[in-house]
Amino acid sequence: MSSMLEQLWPVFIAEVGEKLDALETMVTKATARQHSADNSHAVDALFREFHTLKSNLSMVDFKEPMEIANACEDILHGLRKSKTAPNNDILNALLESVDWIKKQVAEAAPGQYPRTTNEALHKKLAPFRQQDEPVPAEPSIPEQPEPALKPESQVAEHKEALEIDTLRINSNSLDDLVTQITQLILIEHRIDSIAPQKNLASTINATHQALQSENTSNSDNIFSHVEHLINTFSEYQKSLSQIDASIRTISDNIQENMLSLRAIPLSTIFTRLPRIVRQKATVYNKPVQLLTDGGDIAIDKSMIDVISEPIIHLLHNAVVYSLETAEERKANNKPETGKIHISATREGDLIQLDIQDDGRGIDYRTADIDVVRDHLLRIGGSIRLQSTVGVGTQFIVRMPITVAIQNTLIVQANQQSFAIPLRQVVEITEAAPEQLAIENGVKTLQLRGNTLPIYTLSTLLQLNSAPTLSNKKMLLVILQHDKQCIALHVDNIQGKQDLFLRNIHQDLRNIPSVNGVSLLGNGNVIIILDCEGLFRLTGRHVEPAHASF
Amino acid sequence: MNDAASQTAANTMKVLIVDDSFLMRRIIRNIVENDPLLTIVGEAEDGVIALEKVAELSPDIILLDIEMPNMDGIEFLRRSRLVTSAKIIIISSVARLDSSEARDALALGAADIIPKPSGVLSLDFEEKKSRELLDAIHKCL
Repeated sequence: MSSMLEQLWPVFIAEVGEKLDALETMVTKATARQHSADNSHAVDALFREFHTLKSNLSMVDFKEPMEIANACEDILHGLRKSKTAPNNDILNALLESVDWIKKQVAEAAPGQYPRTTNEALHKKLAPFRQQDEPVPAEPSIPEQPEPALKPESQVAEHKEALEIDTLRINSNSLDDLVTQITQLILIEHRIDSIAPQKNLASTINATHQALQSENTSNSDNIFSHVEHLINTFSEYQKSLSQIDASIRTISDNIQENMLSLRAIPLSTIFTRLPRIVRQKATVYNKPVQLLTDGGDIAIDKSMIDVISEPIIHLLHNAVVYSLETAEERKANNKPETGKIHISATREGDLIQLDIQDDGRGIDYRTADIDVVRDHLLRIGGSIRLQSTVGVGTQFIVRMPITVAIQNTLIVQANQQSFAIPLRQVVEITEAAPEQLAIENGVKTLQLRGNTLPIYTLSTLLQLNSAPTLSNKKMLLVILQHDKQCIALHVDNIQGKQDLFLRNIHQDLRNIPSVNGVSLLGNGNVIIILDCEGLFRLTGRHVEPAHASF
Repeated sequence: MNDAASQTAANTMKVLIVDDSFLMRRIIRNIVENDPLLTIVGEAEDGVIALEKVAELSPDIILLDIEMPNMDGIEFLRRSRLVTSAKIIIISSVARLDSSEARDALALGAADIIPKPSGVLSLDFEEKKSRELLDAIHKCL
């Protein structure tokens, strides 16, 4: 019996994660517009989020983070009563609390929680906690900036932070899906019901008997039987084609619906960026404000990782290279706080991201965008840089709206690399010549009682290869397709790699055994093989046994 | 509306859950579902939606949270009294509920205030805590 704790744990993780993200955004926003007059709504909302966070943590008995959330809730309760806006110190303490709780939750498993306490944080929160008393207005000792971390390690950390494993799905789409599945089930009943109704078996039997009975004199009788049989069959055909049409419509709808379920708004990424920028801003001591536009544009879930990497890198660039410190900006008659503006637009199958800052501008050589350019190139995107000295920098990134990712095994044949989709690879093995046999003129491998035919990749693909040396061990990739297995002889295996499928020209698509193409990290084109095609080639191709023996 | 008419055919009482936390609603649902006398007829994530559901479902029991966006529990109590005779039981973190708020809630006709079952999602106390919540609900009926 699975406990309620185990059953509801994913719900807990999802909701707490959502609350923490929301809190982070709200606190960051509150910091940005601290001097504006009306903060009471913000305080209300912050209070409620902390309240729910606390009560969720208390449901699972996760004590330490709950205490922290409780302290934050208390502080906001006090602010709410005294109608005071939170000052910078409070906001910093709240943000630190959110970060800490996030970390604790990330390390937790159902019923097993890290036993860390955070006295320093408790102490930081304590002075703001007295209720019904005005919160000290004058700022205390300013917080020491975080020690400068290596930018690389930060990027790695944030990549992790951007992962998404729970989706919030519109309940209407889910209802539609259920309706469509119900329709499918109804069709199943329809298929069940035509068979007995139309009595096909008895009609065939009657006709069969009529034909068998030796007195063929009664040809009228036979004729009417056959006619009946034909009628029955055509009715059958009609029903089946109706059912076929309905199934096709429903499955199209389901497919469309499923794809839309995977679509999530860009804001999912955008809400997580302020924190990344804030951290960098602190490390490099540059005040920054981040604005985002186009968060409502939907992208496929799989694109989150693909798209967030260049964004984070470019934000890093903007803060580190383009934006100036407050003093430098003042000296140049600019507002002290630098601005970074990300706006997303969609054009057909492309997303365009404009990442613009009002810093000093970047020289293309210092921009350090090679990594991003390579990454974008691999998925069929592009990047442009427009920079005006003293005025700012604009990166224009364009990328396709969806990217198909293929897990592959990279092999070599005739000094050329090929990728084989990993899901069709059963195993990799080495065989000495004496392990091989010849059956009906075809080389075979004995593998755990099964006899597998061996084909050489370079021969199958008709690459001009030198005959393989017979005294060497053969490197074999066992492939499976449709319950059939073959051993594919390759020269070398270079390892596993995730490749982004690129569009290929229509003419290339017709080449047997070519599934697609992709670009490797070094910019070289690689062909992704299609196992079905390879199997078809083997049918036409009996490998002469003497070629490698 | 009299009580007998509002009960379902199986002679159980219809329950509406009002809480802005999805987790909280799932927890309450899991617990209440085990009670043969209670049938959950709906959920609402704030007071506004709850008012709509009250009109639509005519529940016998409303399990109500206090802190919610759009319309909070106190405001819901104030408005719902005109449209339903359901027993309204407040399930809230009592520590947070100021005595003035608690007084208001009871004055507005809440049947009782029950603490949220903290620690209910645990390997050891699940049954005990669930039982306590159900007992507390039953006391109000």
